[in-house]
Amino acid sequence: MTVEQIFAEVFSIPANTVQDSLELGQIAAWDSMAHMTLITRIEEVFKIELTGDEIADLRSVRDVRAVLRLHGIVS
Amino acid sequence: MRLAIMQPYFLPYIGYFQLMAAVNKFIILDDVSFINRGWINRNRIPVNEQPHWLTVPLVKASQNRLINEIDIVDDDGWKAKMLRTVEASYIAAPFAETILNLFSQVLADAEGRLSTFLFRTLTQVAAYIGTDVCIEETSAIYPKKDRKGQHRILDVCIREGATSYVNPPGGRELYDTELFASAGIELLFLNPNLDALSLRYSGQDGPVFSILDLMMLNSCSALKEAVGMCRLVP
Repeated sequence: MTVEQIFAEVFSIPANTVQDSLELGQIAAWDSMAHMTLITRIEEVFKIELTGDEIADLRSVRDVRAVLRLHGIVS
Repeated sequence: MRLAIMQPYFLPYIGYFQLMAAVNKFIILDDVSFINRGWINRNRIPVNEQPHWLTVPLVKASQNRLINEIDIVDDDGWKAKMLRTVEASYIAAPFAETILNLFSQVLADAEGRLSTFLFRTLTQVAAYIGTDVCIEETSAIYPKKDRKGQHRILDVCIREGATSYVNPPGGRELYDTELFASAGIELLFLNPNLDALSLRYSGQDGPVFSILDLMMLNSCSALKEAVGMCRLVP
């Protein structure tokens, strides 16, 4: 599963609209529950554990990719 | 006293109940905008190994209306269909009988205001899991005036005499730790990592399915232990 597919699933948006520049606050379906689900889904799919600071830094698709790279994952 | 405030959701995933378990009082934030295509009136379970939405149908739901202004469709047809879907999906689940009874009760109450229904549902599930938390039905009892965002949250914390406020992960930029500290309130964030959970769940989607999936497959004592595993970080 890709980052685009995770965003599409959690926020009910087309995967082809998930660009690096997309910020969470721009997504209509973004709220605290969706954010929790996004983090859990990222951890589940990529088999990683995010730290509190990493979670705090997740504000865009670009940020998600950057955190994944820190864990040695290129997506 | 540790407090959390969060929108109501329909049978949310286990992270929501971890937040509940982390606090002494949990306030349902229902006087904020509804979110279309979000998780407020729907959640997913696996059907034929594929994610399937269970959706509570609403009357004129819109992001321009508050959650507590929206009604459930006055037609019981969807309830029977949803119940059949859940029955068929979990026919062999170890706790199917108990949870189907509970789910039938949940659906029987599905009428009138969405927020009232969600409060009852969340209360029923929390009680089943054994989460010892006081749940306040509506944030509307706290005067809103023109307060927004963290200022509304802080005002409710002060009114409740909270010593710490637990926030779901993310959105840290929306909160000013110093502002809360100046009011004597510690700001904490839930880390929803569920790797440590030894629960059974369906398919690769794992714990992000509705709590209903976990309830069908795990004992309430296992769920109680799991919701208590959450970690809080400053």
